[in-house]
Amino acid sequence: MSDDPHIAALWRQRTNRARAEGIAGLARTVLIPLVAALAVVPLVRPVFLGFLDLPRALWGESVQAMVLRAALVVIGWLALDVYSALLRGPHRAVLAHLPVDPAQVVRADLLRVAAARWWLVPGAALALSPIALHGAVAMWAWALVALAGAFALGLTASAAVHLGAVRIAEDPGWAGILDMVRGSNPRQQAAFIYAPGVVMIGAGLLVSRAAEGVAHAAAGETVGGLQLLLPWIGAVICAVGLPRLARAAWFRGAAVVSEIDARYATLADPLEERRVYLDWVVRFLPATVARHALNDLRHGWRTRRTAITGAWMASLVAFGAGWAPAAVGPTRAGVFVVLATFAVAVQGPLLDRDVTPFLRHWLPAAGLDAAAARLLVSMLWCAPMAVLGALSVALRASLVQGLWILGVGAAAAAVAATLGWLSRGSIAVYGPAATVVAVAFAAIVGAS
Amino acid sequence: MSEQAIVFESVRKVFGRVVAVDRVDLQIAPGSFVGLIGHNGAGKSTLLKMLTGLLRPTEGVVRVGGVDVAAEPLEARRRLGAVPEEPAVYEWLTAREFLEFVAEVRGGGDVQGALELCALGDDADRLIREYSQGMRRRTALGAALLGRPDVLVLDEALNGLDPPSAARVKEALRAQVDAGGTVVLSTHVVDTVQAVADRVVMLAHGRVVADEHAADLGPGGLERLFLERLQESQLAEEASAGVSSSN
Repeated sequence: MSDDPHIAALWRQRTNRARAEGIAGLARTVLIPLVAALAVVPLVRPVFLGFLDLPRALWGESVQAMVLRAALVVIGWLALDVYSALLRGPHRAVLAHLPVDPAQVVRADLLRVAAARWWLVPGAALALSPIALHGAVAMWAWALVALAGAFALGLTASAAVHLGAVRIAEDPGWAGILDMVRGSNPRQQAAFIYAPGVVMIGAGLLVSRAAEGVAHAAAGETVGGLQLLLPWIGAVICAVGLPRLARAAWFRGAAVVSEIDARYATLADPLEERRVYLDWVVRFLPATVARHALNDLRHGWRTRRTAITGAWMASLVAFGAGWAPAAVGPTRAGVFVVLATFAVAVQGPLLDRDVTPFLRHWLPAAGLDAAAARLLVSMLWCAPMAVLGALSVALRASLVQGLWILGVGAAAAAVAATLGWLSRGSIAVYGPAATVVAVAFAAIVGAS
Repeated sequence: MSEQAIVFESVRKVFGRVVAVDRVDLQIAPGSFVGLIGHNGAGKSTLLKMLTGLLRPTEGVVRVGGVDVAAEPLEARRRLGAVPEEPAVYEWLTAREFLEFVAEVRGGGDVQGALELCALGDDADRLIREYSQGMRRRTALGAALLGRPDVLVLDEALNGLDPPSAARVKEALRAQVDAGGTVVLSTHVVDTVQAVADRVVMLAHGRVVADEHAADLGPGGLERLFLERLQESQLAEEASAGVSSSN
């Protein structure tokens, strides 16, 4: 057991939870992610690893591109998780009044995120395993080194940038710039809105060099090894600076977050405080559906905002996937949109899970109206991915193929939302079912 | 002059156009039990959040034991224990494990004593996630009392407690004060304040409208004073709004 009380408490919580949940907990944390990654393998091979049919001498650039994309997904995912853990996590409320050492708290937070997302690198390893199965074991192994470096860098760089964002949010010197970019958000919020983008750009520069190094290292060139080290060096530099940054910013983070939330709640327009993302849509719905839709939009936005805004980040990836030669762009965009849509649509069953037994009994949200509202809300939250994927395909390939992507996205969102509704709040049901359906759906899209 | 336990110096907190706390000046001596009362939205929680460092004043300074809460958050927290309106605890720990964790962070504390004080002895080894709201509140209270902090801040902390638990907690708070500690209890239940506090500070529309010794108020006196000052404050607010709109 660690001497650090936060790590000891984290370990104790995980042990207690594993004991209480038994086999269901094991399935949730270990089996489902691995099975999902395994299920994706047959799909990845024809859509993203088509270069394996070419002579091995021509693989270098394609492997580099694949590793870079996978690394960016890892870093983006971790950036959102680290933001939630450091600034919005439930344990912040537990610790906010205590004389904690912020350096220890941040270290435990990063361990918590790493433990929750342990499957990102092994999952990517499985997804890329066709490279090894085609005999390029060294290239596959070096790709994993690059991805593990992206994981380490994603964790530490995200923590450094978000703690830095706390300082920026409070610094009068930044006020003018934040006011320029904040839109209708409170000034301090602007510092956090752009933080994941800063992480992606900064860490992306290092992992792009590491991705380039994969082929060089596989060829036995020293420069490849040095390039692969870059994300690790970046991670070490961030980690060394974190304790000081944490001690300077962690306590202030509580004040900044409270300030943002309080400001939202006391905006001059009394209607403003109740407004949430996309709530204008309910004006066009029948009253019986609008009630449920507004409930889902408000609850989702206020409790799971990170996941919903994560769809915006995924939409950028969808745009990137579609921004490829016409022969592969539409397929890549289509497959990505389908998989990402099923991932974002998990918000549906999570909303169900949040309903307390009391409300479930006295105000059951059953029936066609509630189902229609949930379907619409899920589709709206997923829409940015299909829209940007379609846009890039329309620009690079053709308008017809762009519209096809839009249709694929809408159909995937409808199927995922229906599956979520039928799961009735059980992730143990939605997770495996969505994985199977999403992979089958994506396989059809890939084949067509 | 002896060091005050808590000092609010011309503290103001503004959110956009809303003035939540308006130039509050307060000094609270060690060994005081202060009841903070006010209507919903009077500014009690905002004031307490500034006291515990969860919000920074727009103007003015808040000090605990001479330490500026905003400038020295760690030092201030060493002197403070707090139970917020919605107590936060680690749900996947037992109460005993949670209090042991807090004691370690605070550098010591009588865990068994805190468990008994908060009547959690029999349930101490159950996971907190299985607890009722009242039991969670008692767990948070036990955690706040660990290490006997100089200042204890409680925001609606007696809500949801059954009468025997509430009586036991009041005794614990009184013992804290008798030992030289300072307790600030915020509530909108007037009877609770009059039963336990030595001094009553009343907030309305972000301002201190009364600051009295509880003993001077007599039976029912606090409720009468509360209603009277609230009405005066409302009239003043309306008059001020009228002047603003006519300008």
